[in-house]
Amino acid sequence: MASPAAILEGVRERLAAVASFEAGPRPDDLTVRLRRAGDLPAAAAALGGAGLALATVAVTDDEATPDRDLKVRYVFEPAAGGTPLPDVFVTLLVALDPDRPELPSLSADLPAASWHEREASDLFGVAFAGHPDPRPLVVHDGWPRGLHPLRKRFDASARPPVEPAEEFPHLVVEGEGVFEVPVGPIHAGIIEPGHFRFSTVGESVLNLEPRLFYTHRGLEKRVEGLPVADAFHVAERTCGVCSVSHGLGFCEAAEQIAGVEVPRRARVLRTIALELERLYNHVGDVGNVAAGASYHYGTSAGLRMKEALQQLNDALAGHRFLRGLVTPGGVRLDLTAELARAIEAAMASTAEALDSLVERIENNPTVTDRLDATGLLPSEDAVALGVTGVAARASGVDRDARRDHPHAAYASERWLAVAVAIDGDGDVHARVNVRASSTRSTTRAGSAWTSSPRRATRTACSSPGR
Amino acid sequence: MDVVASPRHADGVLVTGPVTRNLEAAVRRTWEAVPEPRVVIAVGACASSGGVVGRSYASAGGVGEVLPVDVLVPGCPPRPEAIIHGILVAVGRVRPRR
Repeated sequence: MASPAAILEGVRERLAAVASFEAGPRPDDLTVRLRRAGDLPAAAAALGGAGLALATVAVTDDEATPDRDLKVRYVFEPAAGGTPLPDVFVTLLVALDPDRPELPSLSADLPAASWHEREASDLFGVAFAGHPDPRPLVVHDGWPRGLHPLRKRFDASARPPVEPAEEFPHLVVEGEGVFEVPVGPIHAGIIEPGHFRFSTVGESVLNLEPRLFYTHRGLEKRVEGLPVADAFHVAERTCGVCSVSHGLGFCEAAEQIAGVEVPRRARVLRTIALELERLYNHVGDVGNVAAGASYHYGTSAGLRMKEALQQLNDALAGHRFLRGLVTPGGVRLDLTAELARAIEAAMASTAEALDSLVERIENNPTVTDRLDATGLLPSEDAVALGVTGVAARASGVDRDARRDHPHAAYASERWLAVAVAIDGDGDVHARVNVRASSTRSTTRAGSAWTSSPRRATRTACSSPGR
Repeated sequence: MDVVASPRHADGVLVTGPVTRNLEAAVRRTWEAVPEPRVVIAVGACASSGGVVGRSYASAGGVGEVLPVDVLVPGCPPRPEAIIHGILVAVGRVRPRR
């Protein structure tokens, strides 16, 4: 079992010749400042050799600060080293000339970097030399070349005209019996806009080209210059069914910067809110999988479970998506004994309804036939692409951010300990199994939530720098 | 009431967010494909006015910026009852509340 300190010592040894080191963003994390951008591929490979994998890439425009540069941060996390995985982040930091931001692309060796680099290219104008697929990602046809909306010099009120554009270069599959089935961006059901080109032979999908970002709303630009309390409301609306996780992610970042200690009771309530959000999404998705397999009973059963849990959300927070429960510094509402009993009852009925639905799915060969070996994601591909969450665990990757990077009350309260559900088959059936197992462990834990002592639920969280 | 697979089979469209730059052409074409008479219902604060998203490089604001809107349903998001009410107002089954 590798300790975070041992991992960081290994990183320092490997990169001492090309970089300087500082602590951060958290006190026990490490930021590695590369002296030359050209050393980036070798440094990333060295981190890979130390058992670290790319978690995310973040770009900031610091042209208006004394640094007068663009900063690109490649955040790595341990992909091996025990269970739970060591909770430490290593950030490769590269500073770029704001007038000519150029970097060697990592995507050929690290597929997980590909979309991050394309996004940084669109929004910040960073050129990634050698990118295997440099097509635009976030900005669509008719966006003026050379204009990058997340640069600070880009006026937030500007609305550039749509320029004449050629058709987007989709990958075309050719051959006898190959059909191209275009779907979207606006769909027949209630799903997020996206354009999908399926190249098929019979029932086999040879290639799927997704094109997303139709609902790119420019939220990052929207929050520029807003006070923390106002920006929180935008962050909470990043995604409808992830209000708690996005809102809490923003709060925890702001609290970390402001040095605010959130009361224990508030951390517990935040964790309960996160689990309730996971729960209604899990059961809703089991229903969505049934819809995808044309199993109408399952669709309705999933929707019914989700609706019951959203009505519980409404009773707890006054909001079916739990918005407004979390707030910078803590939570806005406490859990009364009556509401705690309502949660307990909902946990019991959800567990019962889920078991019934799963049993019907498993005993229905026309359904399982459509779930088995469908949408296969082999474990090595999941790792290479940096897949997280349910999809990763259904491909046999033993990772769970709640366990490996614990926050809120996941680490401090033993009764909230996460049971990580893994299934190695990598198909749709495995993803149903992971969601069902996760639902069961949450409903079991739910009955213990009521026992936490009542205490303060909020600390003042002022805007940093104000 | 039914959610149908094609705008050709629809009597109206519900727009549930701000009209983003990347979706604007598709929103217009979906509306044009709906046979007349047709209704447009803006569901939620962003569809009604742009909401927290506002007008920007990425967003035209509310659906009223690009299509004629019959009914605005407030809320972020509106409750299911409010959406049903808005649809019933749009088809003339209940009177609007002002």
